[in-house]
Amino acid sequence: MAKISKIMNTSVLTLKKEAKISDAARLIANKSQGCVVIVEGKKPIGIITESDILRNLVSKKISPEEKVTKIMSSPITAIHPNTKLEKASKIIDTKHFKRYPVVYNGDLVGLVAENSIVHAINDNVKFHRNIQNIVLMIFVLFEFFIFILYGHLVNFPLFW
Amino acid sequence: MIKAKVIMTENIVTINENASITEAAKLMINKHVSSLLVAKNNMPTAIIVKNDLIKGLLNKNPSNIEVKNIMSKNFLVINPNTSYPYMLKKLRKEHIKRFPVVKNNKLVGIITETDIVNATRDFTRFHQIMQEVILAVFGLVTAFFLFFFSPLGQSMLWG
Repeated sequence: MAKISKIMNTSVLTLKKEAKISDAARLIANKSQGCVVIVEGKKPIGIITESDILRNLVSKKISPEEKVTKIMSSPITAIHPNTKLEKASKIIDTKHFKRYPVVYNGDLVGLVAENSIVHAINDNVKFHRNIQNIVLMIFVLFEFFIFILYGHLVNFPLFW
Repeated sequence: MIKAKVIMTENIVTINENASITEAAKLMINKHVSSLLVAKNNMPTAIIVKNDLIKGLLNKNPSNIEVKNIMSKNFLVINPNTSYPYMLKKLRKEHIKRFPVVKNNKLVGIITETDIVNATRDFTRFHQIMQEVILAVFGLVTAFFLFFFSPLGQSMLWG
């Protein structure tokens, strides 16, 4: 089974914790990405999504000059790059987030989205199913062969 | 074959193209949706997504900007009988994330990336279960064959 490191996105938008909300908004808008990870050194400490920015700037009337730490979601749910896809799928089931920072030894190395995990598992299952069908076909042919051979040898009543 | 009408969302949130972007943002947050459709005569004409709204809000006077200044046309109109694999292909190959569903020139629903991803998860589970069922059936058949041709089976069943 494949690992998270194969499907993660390694070009993650990051901002230091001293940055302002307007910086985060500008970064998200210019790069057309869904979220930005707030880091301290290389350690991820929070995440800000498009919805967080809209909700806080428009509904809660928070000034864009405030620090990003005020509106970020923290703590984050990190995933290890060696996590298997099935395990990741279970994490999605319990957490219901859309994006998960991938963290190795405390450092941010990538970002993985729910949809890429789901699509990767779907591809894997389809691949496995195709292999399984071929193997089953060979088994069936083999069984049929034995059936005929054995029928000849012991005078099998159904055919002869 | 799974069709669009099975997985579509029927509650469509639409907005007038002359509305201000702050109104649009509030609507989007209150209705918990990721995009708003701009519709004219019950036909989708444009769409606004969160990223467009953030771009608009970064301007100096966000209250002067209207929806029609930031809306885009990055969607694909489908009908209720469009197949699920077709949408999945469009989503993954061409990165089209929103599919308004139109029936008889009337907007009846919308399918977003979330709907497709959820459907994919359900199908994946179904496939996994089917895989195990098929394996179990073939295992039983094989076991029966082995028994059938063993000396014990021969004497008990057809000897």
